[in-house]
Amino acid sequence: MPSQQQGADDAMAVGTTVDLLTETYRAHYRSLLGLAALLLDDTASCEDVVQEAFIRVHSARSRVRDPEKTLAYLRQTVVNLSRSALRRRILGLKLLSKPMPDMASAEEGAYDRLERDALIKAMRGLQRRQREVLVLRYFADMTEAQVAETLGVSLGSVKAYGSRGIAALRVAMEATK
Amino acid sequence: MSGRDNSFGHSEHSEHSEHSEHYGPDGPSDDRTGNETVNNGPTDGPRDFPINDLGGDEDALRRLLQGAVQDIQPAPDALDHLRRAVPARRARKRQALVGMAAAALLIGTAVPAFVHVANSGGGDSANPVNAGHDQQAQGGTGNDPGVTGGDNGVKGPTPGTGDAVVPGRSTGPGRSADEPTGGGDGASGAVQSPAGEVQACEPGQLAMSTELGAPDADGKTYGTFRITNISETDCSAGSSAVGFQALGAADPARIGVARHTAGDAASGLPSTSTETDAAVAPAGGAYEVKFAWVPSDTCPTEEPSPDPSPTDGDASGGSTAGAGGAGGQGGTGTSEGDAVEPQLLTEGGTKDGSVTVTYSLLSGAVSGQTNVPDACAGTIYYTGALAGQ
Repeated sequence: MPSQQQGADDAMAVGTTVDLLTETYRAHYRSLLGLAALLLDDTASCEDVVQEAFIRVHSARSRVRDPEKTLAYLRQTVVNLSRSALRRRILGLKLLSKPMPDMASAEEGAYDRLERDALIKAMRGLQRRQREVLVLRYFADMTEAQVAETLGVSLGSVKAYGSRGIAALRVAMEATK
Repeated sequence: MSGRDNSFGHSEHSEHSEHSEHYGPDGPSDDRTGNETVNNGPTDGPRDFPINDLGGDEDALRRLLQGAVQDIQPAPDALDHLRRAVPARRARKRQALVGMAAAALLIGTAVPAFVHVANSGGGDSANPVNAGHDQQAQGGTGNDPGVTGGDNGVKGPTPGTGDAVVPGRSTGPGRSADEPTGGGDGASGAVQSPAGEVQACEPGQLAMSTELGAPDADGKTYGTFRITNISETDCSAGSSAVGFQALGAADPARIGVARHTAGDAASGLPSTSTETDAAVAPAGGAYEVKFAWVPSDTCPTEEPSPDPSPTDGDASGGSTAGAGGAGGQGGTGTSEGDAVEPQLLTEGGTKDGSVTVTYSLLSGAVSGQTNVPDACAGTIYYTGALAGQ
């Protein structure tokens, strides 16, 4: 996304936007789906959440001007949307036009497997914050500082949630054996 | 990701989608730690780490998390959907921005008018209204004096509060023709909107856009205020007010504001049964307030013009709050009146008049207005909150 000109005329702006969107989609959509899948209890909402995050971030031009920050905004939005209260509201509002489409069987299988994954089961038993910290830290590969910023908690809390989360996860995994 | 080992406890995620529930081709054979490492505690093995060795767990967790979701693929039409949805959302936001601009204009013009109305008490200041001209409807956004006046007005107008606006403004005789336009402002019609447990909307959470249709055969004009919650939390709009500002030849004494009821003249407004008084704006959602301008008379024909410059003493004393309103019109707020005074119509013919219909939340969270052209006398009917679509 090196040269995104500030859309001088509308047509150009739209063109730029679409390219940017496609580019961001290719670069991040899948990993954000993963992020949502790990944060959400109902995997059926993953796609909706990521869609909504993309729409929100991309409809604010200022948020896509700096490609490096775009990912951060997207992740932040996915985290926020994954908190259940918010998501319920969104789904209730039907802002998201599409439910899960008829998915190819391969994908269905992917979500099915996710449901059976021992780690996923264990993750769902964690406290919300612990789970968020672990996912952001270890799946999204954020630094502790980035996690703190994304979740709006202190660095110390991130460390604490992280270590307690890992400990809890270990116990949970042990229990599923 | 292939070749990662599953060392955080035991795991059964697959390497590839074709290998559901099985290790990938290089899974177990390559797995140096197997499933003993964490859950089974220290055992033999090259990468056997103690139970409290978070470093090892962290690596394992990374791999497990990646592996758990690696098969998930976007829906086939995901990108197409985004390509449609992003421009649509942008358009919505643009509308919201227009609403914000209108709100800023309102704060500079209409709200001080509330103060003024409270001050003037029907006194002489209402008379020079016809000194107005249609420049009034345009111009820049409000300035500080306007905002100050607005605050006073919102909190329950009492005589005298508007005086705070005056200092520094009332000296120039050349500007006096500006000020009396404030005299044409009226406010009425509170919409009660009791909230549930939802928090009150704050400034910045809401945006307003307005629509105004063309007059129908009877000269009735219908419009809509659409209030959109652009934040991520629900909020309660609280009480609101529909008011107006009479511009040009419009006569505030002959303009009324009434809540729409079944059988009134505003037959084009939706039935009152669809209204809700609890205007809660859900996150991302919207509600609407519709109004109708029902004229009772056409704009008057021109009479000999009154003195275009009402005496300064009169204008600055009697209609002090008008100064706040006037500030919104010069664009800069400091420009002297003479620059924006293309003087009054003195020839015969129909006078220009228009009515600006305003909608504002008493909390100040949002406000907006729209100008009904060629309107001098009549009634504004408005609805309660209607669910936006």
